Amino acid sequence: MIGLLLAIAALVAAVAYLLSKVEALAGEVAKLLARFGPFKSWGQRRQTRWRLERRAQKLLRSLREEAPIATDKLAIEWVDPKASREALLEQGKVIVRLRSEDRAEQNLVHATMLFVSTSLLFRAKRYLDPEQRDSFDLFVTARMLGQTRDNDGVLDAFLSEYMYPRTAEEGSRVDEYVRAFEALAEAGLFYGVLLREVDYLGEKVWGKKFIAELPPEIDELLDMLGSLAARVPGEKINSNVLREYCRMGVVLVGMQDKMQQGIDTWIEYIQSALVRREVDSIYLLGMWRDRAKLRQIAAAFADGYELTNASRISQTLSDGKRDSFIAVMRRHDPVVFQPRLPSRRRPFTKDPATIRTGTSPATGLLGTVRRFGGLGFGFLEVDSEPEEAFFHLNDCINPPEFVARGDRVECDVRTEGPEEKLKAYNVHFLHLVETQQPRQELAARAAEEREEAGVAVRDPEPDTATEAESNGGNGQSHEPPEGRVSAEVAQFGTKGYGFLRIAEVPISVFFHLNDCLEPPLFIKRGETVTCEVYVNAPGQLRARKVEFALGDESDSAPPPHD
Amino acid sequence: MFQRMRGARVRDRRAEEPVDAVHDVDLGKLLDSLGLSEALEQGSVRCEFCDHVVTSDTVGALYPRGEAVRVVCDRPHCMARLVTDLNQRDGGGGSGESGR
Repeated sequence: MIGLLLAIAALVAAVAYLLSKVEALAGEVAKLLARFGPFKSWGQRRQTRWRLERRAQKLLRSLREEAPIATDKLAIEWVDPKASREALLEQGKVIVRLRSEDRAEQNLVHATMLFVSTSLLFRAKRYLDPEQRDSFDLFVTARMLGQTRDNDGVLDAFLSEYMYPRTAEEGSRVDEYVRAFEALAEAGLFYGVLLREVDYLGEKVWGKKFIAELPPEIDELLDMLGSLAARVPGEKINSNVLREYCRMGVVLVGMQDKMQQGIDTWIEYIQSALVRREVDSIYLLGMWRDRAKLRQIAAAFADGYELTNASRISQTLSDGKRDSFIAVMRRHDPVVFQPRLPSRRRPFTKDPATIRTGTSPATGLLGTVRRFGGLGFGFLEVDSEPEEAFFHLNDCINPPEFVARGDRVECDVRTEGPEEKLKAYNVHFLHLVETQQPRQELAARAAEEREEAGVAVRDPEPDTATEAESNGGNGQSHEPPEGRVSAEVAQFGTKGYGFLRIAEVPISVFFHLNDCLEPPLFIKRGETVTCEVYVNAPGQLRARKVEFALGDESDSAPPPHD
Repeated sequence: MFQRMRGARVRDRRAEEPVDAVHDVDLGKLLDSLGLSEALEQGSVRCEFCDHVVTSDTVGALYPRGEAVRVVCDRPHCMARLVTDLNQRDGGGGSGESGR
């Protein structure tokens, strides 16, 4: 039996050896054919690609041992030289020239640069600013080329001829970033944490290539990791980044006296400092010998976080070089960002754990509408909360046609965003309550209606009776006053239109936001305006060129969530 | 603007995209297809970054920009600038001002 197993093992080894030799043999055949006329072109192409891919593959494999990269293959694809100009333009390809064997090093550098920039780090850096992108590209390319073992000067050539001119540019931050990356790489934090985190952010944030808020968050992450890398044992530093997109924490699991007491200290810390704050990533960093305890800590949060990676990293810290262990935990349901859908189809999301509600789930907090604008959002004064809560019509269970200051509502509230602004959900206008059904049932019914209709908000039809009456639909015709007249807002609704009360006209006059000159964000009942009145095609009075008197500046504050 | 959603994930396989290349032996045909051969011979093609005259021997890379094919010479500085240019183009207007 043992003999049979040994024979199989020997056979497998022999096949593997032969396969590697076959690959090498194919390269040699290509090299040979490259000398002969009919096969010359094919042979040269084959040889160049084979040699380049093989070298790049070795570099990527070495890099992959320490870096969380998604591939170990750099593939070369020859463009069709006979393809039409239009086809090449349409494909938008960047075509790099690869030369024959005498310029193999140059081929390697050019192909590696393009590969790192357009493929390997594409996801990780697509939302960063150009200097951050360049810095990541240059640093990772240098690290990759630095894996060459044959001392052929490829790395030196890259550093001096390709990288240095970019880092030496006046006013550029590339040099600063690259130096910061080097310090992190020494401490095992560049690939271990930074690149993992930016790659993860690239996974969370998609559909757009650049987000202005993200580069400062990456800078903050970089600063935090820099402090961590330069930290002396025992020094306490903040190792969390709690921003809108980047929400992560690094936990150093060390201090033997605490470790001997057990892992509860770390679990309590993670629970209170990170889990409670809804971080999406937790990096546990400790000594290699403590890896079992790190795994135990990660297992304690298995309900909410998945252990996605656990590996050895090499660190050079202020107290010397050592092997460390890193465990990467990702939240099961991270907040991801995608381009905003049309608002009426926006899914209603909420996290029950963070919602503050009334005395029971069926009853909400009581509040009063303080402001409401024509754009579908406003602010509530919630009885138990010290600050006003933002609300949007999409978050209303029974959105009325007209929202007025002073309307009483029932709602749930929660804080959102980095500034922890208060936001109201399940807003229920009490003056529209027709039944005594529990609010949760009404909410469920409203959600079903929304789902059936394929929209997030019931689209309230205009109150035709009110409109007809207001516009003289009783058959009486009214002459419009001449010139500009002074008026007062009688009503303003949720669909961008309302009615004006004008002294010269016995009925209310319809107006729309589109008829307004520089309308304010919030249009309040009783607000004074001037306008022109005319008779439209159906014979109804309508206001145009509605101009609002300058109001309170606070009313023009942008919404915190849009 | 972005909306926050929980649970959805995205996977992209961009990391496996190949590097598009042309070998020396095919460069002449490709330049013919792109209508650049004659201009290169006449010395009227200049590098996108260093503005030096590019010949068929010094072509480093080709890339489309709008309706034109741009030519980059094979100097290291210019090839590095190509990557920077791609980063700025993909950046969609990143100002480079991140407050650092």
